Formats: sequence, structure tokens, C-alpha cells
Amino acid sequence: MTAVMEAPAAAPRRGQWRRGFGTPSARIGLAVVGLMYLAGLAAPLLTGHDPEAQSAHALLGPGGGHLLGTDEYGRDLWARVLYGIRVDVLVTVVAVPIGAVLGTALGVLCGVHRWVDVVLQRAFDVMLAFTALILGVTVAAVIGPGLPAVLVTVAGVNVPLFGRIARDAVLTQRDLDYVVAARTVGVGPVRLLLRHILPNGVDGLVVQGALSLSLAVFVEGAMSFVGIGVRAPAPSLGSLLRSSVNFLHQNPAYAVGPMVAVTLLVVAFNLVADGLGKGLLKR
Amino acid sequence: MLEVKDLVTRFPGHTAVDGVGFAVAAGETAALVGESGSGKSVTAMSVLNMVRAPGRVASGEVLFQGRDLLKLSERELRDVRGARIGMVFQDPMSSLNPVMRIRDQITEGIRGLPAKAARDRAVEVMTRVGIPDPEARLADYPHAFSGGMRQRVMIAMALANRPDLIIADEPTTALDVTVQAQIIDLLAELNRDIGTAVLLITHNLGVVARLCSRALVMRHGRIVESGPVDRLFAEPEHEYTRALLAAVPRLDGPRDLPPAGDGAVLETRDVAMAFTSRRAFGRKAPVVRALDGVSLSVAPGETLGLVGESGCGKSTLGKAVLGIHRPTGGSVTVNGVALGPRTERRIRGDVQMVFQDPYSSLDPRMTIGALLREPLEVHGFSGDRDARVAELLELVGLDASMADRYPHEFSGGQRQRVAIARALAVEPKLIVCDEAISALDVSLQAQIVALLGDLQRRLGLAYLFIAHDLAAVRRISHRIAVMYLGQVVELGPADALTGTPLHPYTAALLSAVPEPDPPLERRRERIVLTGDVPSPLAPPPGCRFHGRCPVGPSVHPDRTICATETPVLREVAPGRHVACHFAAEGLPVASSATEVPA
Repeated sequence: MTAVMEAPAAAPRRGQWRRGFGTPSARIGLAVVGLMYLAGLAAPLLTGHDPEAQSAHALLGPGGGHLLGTDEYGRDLWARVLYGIRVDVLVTVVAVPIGAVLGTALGVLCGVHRWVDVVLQRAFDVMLAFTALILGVTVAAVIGPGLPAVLVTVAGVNVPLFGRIARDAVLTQRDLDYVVAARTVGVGPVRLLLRHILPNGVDGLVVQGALSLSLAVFVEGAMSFVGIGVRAPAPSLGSLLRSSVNFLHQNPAYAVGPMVAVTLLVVAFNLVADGLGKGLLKR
Repeated sequence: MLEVKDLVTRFPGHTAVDGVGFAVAAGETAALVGESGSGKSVTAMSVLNMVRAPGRVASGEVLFQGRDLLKLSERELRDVRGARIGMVFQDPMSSLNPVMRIRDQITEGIRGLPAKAARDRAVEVMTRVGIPDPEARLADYPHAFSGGMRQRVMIAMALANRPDLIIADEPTTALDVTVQAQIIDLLAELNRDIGTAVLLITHNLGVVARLCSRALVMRHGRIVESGPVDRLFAEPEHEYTRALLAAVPRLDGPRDLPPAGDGAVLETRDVAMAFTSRRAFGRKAPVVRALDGVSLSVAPGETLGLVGESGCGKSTLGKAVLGIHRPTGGSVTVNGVALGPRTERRIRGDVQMVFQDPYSSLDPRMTIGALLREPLEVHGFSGDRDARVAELLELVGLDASMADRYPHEFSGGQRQRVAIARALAVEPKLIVCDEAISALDVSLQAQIVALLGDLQRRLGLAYLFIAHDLAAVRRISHRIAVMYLGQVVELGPADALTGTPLHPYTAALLSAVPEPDPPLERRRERIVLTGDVPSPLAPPPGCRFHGRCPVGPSVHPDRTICATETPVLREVAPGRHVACHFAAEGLPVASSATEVPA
């Protein structure tokens, strides 16, 4: 070999996406997530029961008119699981992107300005030092428990995660030849960030995005489980799990629905993250 | 001793080595020459049966001392590798384990000796390869060694088992010319004194001429020509060999440059650049003076070559001219406008840069068209942008239809053309070429140099051409400035400077450049600089070169002025500037250009 290096084989965007989403794990994960989200959104079509309608038939086992049985107030569990998934759709579709965009923006700022960097990074340290649940308790104490608290918490948890990755991307890209080359051509700082630095650093953010989606499901579950999340009588996977614990010996099937749903979602998002990571990050 | 027959090595989709056969006799120095992708490194790996999957040796024989290495088991092979055949790799920075002491790395590979004897052997080979104070240095880690010293350590490791053959794969490519000269001399000496055969793999024909007695020229996985170097270089038979030789820049080769204009597109006055390394608590941070009082000017349509060893500040100067680094002292004036925070944008329209590595200087996520359109958008080009992009591509000899493709679809030479087109987009007056051809093969170098010359003729461009290869710089430059440790030590017209250097450092650089001319290389007396460039953190007092100077106080003890007084750059003849107290006084060797009979 002469001094000429092998091409780093950085393929353009499209081919990489195909490689990322084309891995078996990403495909399986996407399929599972897609099916479950569809089920959540199409809940009225999949069940005739109102998830909040009470009846005299409490704690029935699976079978009869109730696919998964009923809870302590005689509400249909299959309907409650389906409608519960809707909460997670909301959390993942609304809260995660908000946190991601905010975190990325702050991270980019850190990469650009030294003092902003010092201050924000310490703030991120503090946020990362607490578990999501403690942040959730704090948020719930301030704005009161409920779905808004869950959304705020999920967004908040994601800010430092994306902030760190975006900052690293900016710092590593900043001194690369093609960024310096773009500067010498006269490209200004904003365009430099948006056209050159972020597109080349986006891989890590995408993988973090998939991981954050699973984290969001987990945080919603945990908050509702301890009673500071979605409020009764509205169903959510976390609150279903919490109430099922009290009736494990009367109706063991009570816990199965929400448990399977949460597990599937978390695992599926992790699979997507895994596949994306293999396709995008490994060069 | 080593005989390779009909070797074929395949990778999925292509055959890297296609029926190669050659032999290396005991005590011989042979060279495997070729450009990147010619299969020379894969051949070396195949000889040791070390081709990495998915590649594999498909057929052939590698007979070493009567045994076929391709048929040995992995265990038996290990006794050959290292023990009978030593390997030296290209990059001494990455081929040593940074967390192991040198002693352990050398003794690790020594077979069948007790620990004490192995240690003695390590001292012996360290002495052999010319590492001063080997006893003490054995306990050091690799980071304590410079690049040249690390390559010596690598050679010491290869020698530790007293092998019969050393395979050296581009052993000097990552090194400065002066250090390269040291390493070549070391290999030649080992061959002469202890009879170790050397199989040198290189793209540098000059190194071959200096070191080897026989050469094999490879192309597309085949050997196209082989023979004794004297014959091969004097009367090459194969047309590829001829083309290869013709592409190598020579210190006495012909030049064809358009005349330079008057005035100055670029003027630097006393430019200084001091980098403060990380501040230690309460202590004053050491300051690296990367540039120290550099005053140069470039006329319109002129090429000023800038040469020196790595760390001399030549790239820093290039970046200072573009305002990427802001000088800590002095001034940079472009087209009469002083460079400052306010004028930076405006100056970017007049000065552009082409980088060393065309693989990393183009954004991999943008098409060629987008890359070329960007400077037009940024500078508010009002005409038809697509037409301008097509025009730029044609200007650098590429097809306009390539605009939709991505950089990774192009070869290194094509990418460098794209980089040049991008620099041309804003119609600059001056282009800074920072080692712009150093990463390319010789034939590509010749093409890019021709392109740059053509553009200069058509567009009246001026270049600041930064490179470490004096012969290449001479081919394209009107004038050359030689830098050492942040200062210009000599400045003059290219032919005069390379023909009769006035500064001993220039003379040393010139004599370190290996020329593709074996009889000349044998005849030539050389100034081999000892040691490495001193640290710019603590530059020597007085003349910064005095510690390594072949005519300085270490040779002439009465020349104490060198160690106390800094020589200033002064004009000694029209257009010729030199910073030396004893300029041109008793330089031991003139350059090759004057030595060749006219």
C-alpha cells in the first residue's frame, strides 16, 4: 500500500438507511412495533367493549365474552390493554421527539460555545445522575400526576441523552477535513452545522432515538405503576400492571396482557436500535 | 532461498495476485515495485500465508529454504514467521503496542532463549539498529520514541531472531525524507554486514534505486518486468515501467512554467503562531511556536513551493493564510486586504485550499454536484449554477455527467480533481495546496501537477504549494521556501535553490531525496542528518538547526556563534535569501543536479 488510504466506505444516506433497517433484528422489531401500534390505534375495531365501562362481572378469567378476562371493576382487560397502548403511542410519538430535538439543539450549542458547554454539561450530569423515576416524581410533584407529567418526564429524560451524543458528533466532526474544507469555501456556521456536521453525525442520534422509544415505554409503565402517571379510570399499560399485582392470586391472567404488551414494545424498540446500530455505526 | 511460483490470491470479485513468480537469493536486496492496488502488499502477505479472509491464496507455491509455506500448518508457520522471516510494516506509529515496554515487545518474539539471553539479544539488536543508549531505552514505552526511532525498533524486532530475510512493506513511506534516508541506510548496512536478504515493497522508485540490486515491477497483480535495477532504470522494456519512471519527479528534470506576474496576491509579514498547550494548574503553559516571523510573498500566476520536515510549520502557515488559524503575530495580506475577522469572508473569495487527503476532504453525504454548488450558493453566484458546475468539472478533466455521483464512487485522483474544482468555483486568485499530491501514486501526482500547471496558464492562478517532496515541489514551483522549526531558512528561485543550495539544511534535504537513478545513487555522497527535528516546545537557542548542522559547531567547534545568535534571513544574491551565518561555506555536497554531467 502507498500512503493512499482505503476509502472509509461512507456510503450516502439512502444506502445506509437500507442497510440499517434491512438487518433482521430491525425488521422484526419494526414489524412488532407496527402491529402493536396499529392494534392500539384500531382499538375500537378490535373490541366491542368500552375500556372504562364497569360491570358486575369482576375478576373473570379469560374466555367467554372477555378475551383476557375482566379486572376488579368488571372492565374488559383486552380493551384496556388496547387502549393502554394508545398512551404509549402518544408518549413515543410526542414526548420522545420533543426531548430529542431539544437535546440535540442544546448539544449542538455545547459543541459551538465553550461556556454554554461547561454549564450545560454539568446540568446534564445532574440529570443523568437521577433515574427517570425520580425525575418523574419531581415532575409529578410540581405539575401534578397525570399524562402531562409522563410526557414532560419522558421528554426531560431524553434531553441529556441526545445532548451528549449531539455534542460529541459536533466535536468530532468539527475538525475533520471536509468541514474545514467547507469553511475555507466560505460556508457560514449555521449552514456548516446543518449541512455538514449534523448529517454526518446523525447515525448516533438515530440509534439513540430507537433506544429512547423503548425507554419511553418503560418510563410510562414505571410512572403509572407507582401511581404518578396516567390517572384512573383511563387505562395505561403501567397502571394495569399496578392494579394487577393486588389480584395476582384471584386472577393471574390479569397481569399477562399488560406485561406481554410492555415487554414486546421494549424488546421491539431495542431490536430496532440494535439493527440500526449495526447498519449505521459499524463502518 | 525464497522462491514464489505461480502465486494466485483471490478476493471475492477480483484477483489481487495473478500468477506471480519470483525468487530472492540469500543476501540479496530485491524490490517489489508498484502503485497502490497493484497487489504488491497482498503478495507479501501471501508469501507469509497471512492473507486475511475473505481473501485466500488460491494456488501456487512459496518455497522458503525448500519448504512450501502454503502447505505448513499454522504452528509450523509461526516458526518461520518472525524467526526466519522478519516483517517491517509501514506505519511505525501503529505497529507497536503502546502499553508494552520495548524490551517486552522485542523479547516476546525471540524463540528458544532464556530470559537473560533474550534480553542481551534485545540490547544487541537495539545497538545494531542504531538506537542510542539501548540498555536504558529498553524499559521505555513506544510513546517515548519518535517515528524514525520506532521504525528502528520495528527493524530491531524483525532482526531479533536473526532472520535470513526481512520483508519490509513501505518501511519509509510514513517518514520524513531525512529520516527515510537514515532507515534506508540502516537496511543497506544490515544487508552488507550481516547478509540479511531484504524484500522491499514500495511505490518509491528512488528508494529502490538507493537500496536494491534487483526490482520487480507489478501491475494489476502481475509482474510486468523484472531485472537488475541498473538495467531496469536505464533501459526499461515494458511501457508501464517507462511510464512509471517518467512520472517520477527529478531534481534535474525539465520544467515548463508560465511566467509569473508582478506584485503580490499574498504577502505575509512576520507571521507568528504560538499555540498554548493545555494549561497545568498554576503553572505557566508551555508555548509551541509553530511559526516564528515568517515573511513571504506570492505574485499573481506564481507558484511558491514550501518545503520542510513534518512539524516545521508549513501546514500551519497554509492555514494561517486562509484564516483557519488566526496568527498570533504579524499580518497576512491578500490582494491588498489585510486578513482579519471582518475581511475573512471576503478573502475566502480570493484564497482557496486543496487538502492532502481527498478521501476525507469531501463530505461523504453530498453529491459531487452539491459539493460544487455549495461555494456558488454561499457566495451568491447569480448565473446558471448547473452550467457552472458542468464547466468546473470539465475544467479539471472530469465529465459533467459525474455531478450526480457521490465521492465514494471516485478514485483518489478523481477526488482530488473534484477538490480542485471546488476550490476553483469562487474564482480565487490563490490556491493553497497543502500536501495536495502527497497521498497519490506517482503517475497520479504527475497528472495532478500537470492539471495545476494547465490551470495556472489558463486562469493566471497563484499557488502556495506545500509539500515535503522537494523534487515534486521543484517541478511545479517558480520559487521555493525551505522551512525549519517555524522559520524560513532559505528562499530562492526553484532551479537555483535545488541546484546550488546555500543553507546546509536545504543541502541535507536535497541529498536525502532518493533519485530513481541507481548509478547516481551509488556515486552520490550524502549528508545524512542525525537525529530528529527538535521539539518546537523548546527550540534550540541561536540557529535552530545548529545541533544537526553538518557545517555547524558540532563539526567546527570554533563556530560558536551558531549556538548563540539567531541568523536572519538576508539576501545574498538577487532573489536568493538565506538564514545562515556560514551560508554556502564548505557545504560537503552539492546537489545531484550539479553533479550530473550536462
